[in-house]
Amino acid sequence: MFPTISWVSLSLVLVGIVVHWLVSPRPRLAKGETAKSICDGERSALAKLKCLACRLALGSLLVLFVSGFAERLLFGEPIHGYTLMLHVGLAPVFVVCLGFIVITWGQQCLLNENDRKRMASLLRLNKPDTTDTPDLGWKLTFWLAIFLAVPASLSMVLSMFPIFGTHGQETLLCLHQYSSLALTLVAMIHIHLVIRRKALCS
Amino acid sequence: MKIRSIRPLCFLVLLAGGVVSANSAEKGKGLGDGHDGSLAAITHLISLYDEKGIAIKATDKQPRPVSMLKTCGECHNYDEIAAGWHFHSGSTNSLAGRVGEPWVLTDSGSRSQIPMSNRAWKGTYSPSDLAISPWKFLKRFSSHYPGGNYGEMPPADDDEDADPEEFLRWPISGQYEINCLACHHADSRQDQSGAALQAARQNYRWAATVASGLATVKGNASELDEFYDPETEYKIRTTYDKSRFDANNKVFLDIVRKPPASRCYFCHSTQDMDTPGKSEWTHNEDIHLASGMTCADCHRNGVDHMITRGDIESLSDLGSDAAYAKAYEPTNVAALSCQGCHLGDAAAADPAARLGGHLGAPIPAHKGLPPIHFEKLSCTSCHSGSFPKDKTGRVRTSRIHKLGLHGRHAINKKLPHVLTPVFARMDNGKIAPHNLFWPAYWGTLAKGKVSAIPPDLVKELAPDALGLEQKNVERVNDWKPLSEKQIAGVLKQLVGEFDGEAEEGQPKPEPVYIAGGRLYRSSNGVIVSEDHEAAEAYKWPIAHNVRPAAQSLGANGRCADCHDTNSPFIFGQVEVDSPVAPQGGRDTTREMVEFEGLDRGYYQMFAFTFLFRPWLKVVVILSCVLLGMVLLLYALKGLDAVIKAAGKK
Repeated sequence: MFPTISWVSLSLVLVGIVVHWLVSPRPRLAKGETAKSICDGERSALAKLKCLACRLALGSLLVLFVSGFAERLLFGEPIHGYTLMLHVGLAPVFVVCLGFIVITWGQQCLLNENDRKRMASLLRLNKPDTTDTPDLGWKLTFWLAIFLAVPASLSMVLSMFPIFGTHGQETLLCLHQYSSLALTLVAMIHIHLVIRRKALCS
Repeated sequence: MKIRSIRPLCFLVLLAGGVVSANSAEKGKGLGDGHDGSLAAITHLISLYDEKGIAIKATDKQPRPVSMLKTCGECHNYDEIAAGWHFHSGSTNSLAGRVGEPWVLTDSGSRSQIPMSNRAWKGTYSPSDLAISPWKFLKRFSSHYPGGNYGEMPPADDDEDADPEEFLRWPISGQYEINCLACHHADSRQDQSGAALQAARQNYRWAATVASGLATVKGNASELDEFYDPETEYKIRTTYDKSRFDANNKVFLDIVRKPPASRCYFCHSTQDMDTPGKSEWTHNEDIHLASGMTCADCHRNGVDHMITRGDIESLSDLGSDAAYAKAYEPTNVAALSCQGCHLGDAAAADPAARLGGHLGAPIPAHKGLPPIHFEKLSCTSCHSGSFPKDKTGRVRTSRIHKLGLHGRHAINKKLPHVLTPVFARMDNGKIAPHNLFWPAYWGTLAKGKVSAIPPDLVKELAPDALGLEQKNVERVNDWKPLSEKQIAGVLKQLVGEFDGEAEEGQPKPEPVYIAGGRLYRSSNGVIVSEDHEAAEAYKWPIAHNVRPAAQSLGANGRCADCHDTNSPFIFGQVEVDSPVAPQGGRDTTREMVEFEGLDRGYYQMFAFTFLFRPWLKVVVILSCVLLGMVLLLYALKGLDAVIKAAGKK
């Protein structure tokens, strides 16, 4: 079941990203706004750290995704052996980086008035105004990714304590798998939107 | 007229009655095997019969011993019972089933310990391969033998290969019939040590009678002349306890359907050699027995006596021997495994059995134990046997070491040195605790296959090279050291003895010696040793004693019981036991990982990561708390914005 859901959801997201690149209208920045990614701007020590944390988080997420999903999706085997050790070893790096990012980058990712208007517009199923801000998507996916990282991490750490029995352990493993899959999908969309925004602004 | 017509009718009725009666007499074989649903105990106030089917009376002047075949067989189907696990071990077509404890042919003179079985377990030899006839088998193993099969296999009249002596000895000793009372007689007077004593005297016909406490026997069949006529001479005298007979010459036997555990223990005890003798009282028994259960609560059987072996895994997961699984009808006995009782078995026919909790078994939570462990390990890995230590310990078992013999015929048998617990992979791929010993024997190597040479033959061919003293050789019951020079001497003696066995155009069989996991051969007069499949240790999975839950490996989140760089479970040392002193700095131990089929480097590294696990937990939890607090903070801010926006409108 899980491999099928994974293949289908990964395919859908990838296809969606490609379609989005090709057919969606190009959003423009609001007046006075400049396009900045986490690694742009002044090169203070904190900025460098932010940039490093971002790259580490992305790199570790990629390795975590490959190590966690490759064997399962390609060979039908659960993660084991040295791959498991690599996976578990990198997990704290990813979570610590996320913690750092959310503190240092969270303020920039707050929804502003334009984002709220766009969201209200979307919720009312109105046709999006092309003059609206293009930031809503990547901001939402950022917060969603942060949110999903919590169950993905906690589910495995909690299973290391003598709290949950066999059924609980299986539930935690299930939670870890699905929240990780969702985290990966959201991260893919987030990266796509950030790259697209950067490309538009440059 | 009426009478005329009634006569043929009566005749027909009588004839029909006779036919029905004859049929039911035939079918009545097994009259007592059924179950009418009453759970009340059945009182066995019965007549005793001798082997000729003649009822035994208290007043008999020359009473003969009780025949189980005739007495119990009066109401129970002896033939069907004889096909059960305990009684068909001598058959060459017996079910193999899960690998189990073999008979072990030990001989300190020839430095041999050979696992024997007719069940085709890997590493065993059939008794016939070692020139062990049923008679010889009884002589060696009847102290802990339930009777039947080999005990009832005298040589056929036209058997030209049989030892002539056996033709003469069998009628004197009689057959060793299935001793039903050994298990089902709950009377405290039942004494299997007494049966063993009679067996040692070759009084097989009398063994069951003496053990039951019904009679005393004087005389020793092994000392009687070969031409002694048991029909007319009475040098073995049976004296019944007359107080046991009632006015109708019937005897009450306290027969129970479910044997008490103490009966099973005679053949199925294990002695921990780390604290034997005076410290024996410190040991705990199996937790199931301590909680009031008996062996037969789990090890059950029908009239076929195919006792469930309490399979440690679900029967659908046996991994071998389809015939065995078929014989058991897994859906019927699914509840009688560890998993079946404690967790429930999805394969069970009874919906209740799918839920577990059978016989009040607690359903374990296994808190903190990742489910992957259930795929890799058997239940017994964590719960059974002695708690693993850095190096394997030794045990003795009833059947191999002849425990439970009291008085002067007690023997302090030390060989083979059975090592435990050895964690090894079973046929189904799971790791389980095993008992193990290292086979040792002389053999011939041809086409890469080793065939054992009977120890007696080796002693006959090379007594000097073996350094056998002619006096009391058999009384030495532990290893006598064997040097490579002696091995060379014996192999030299054996060369040429087996040339005739080679097929035309095939290489001559090469004499070899196997011990301590090595195959020794002579190469240009020099003894060399090498690894060989035939030299592999013989091991069988164990399930008892089951330790209390708190003493299980990994209980209460103790991951380090196994995932530690020094964990005996993975890195323990298994003793290599051999009469040959190790040469050239060869190890006297082997690592547990070899038997488990695990990658040592990986598990060392994996165990090493557990040192950092507390840090990992702290870091991840703190990070998650941080993420959660930030999320909460911004969520509250968002809520604040929503409330303000709503307020403006």
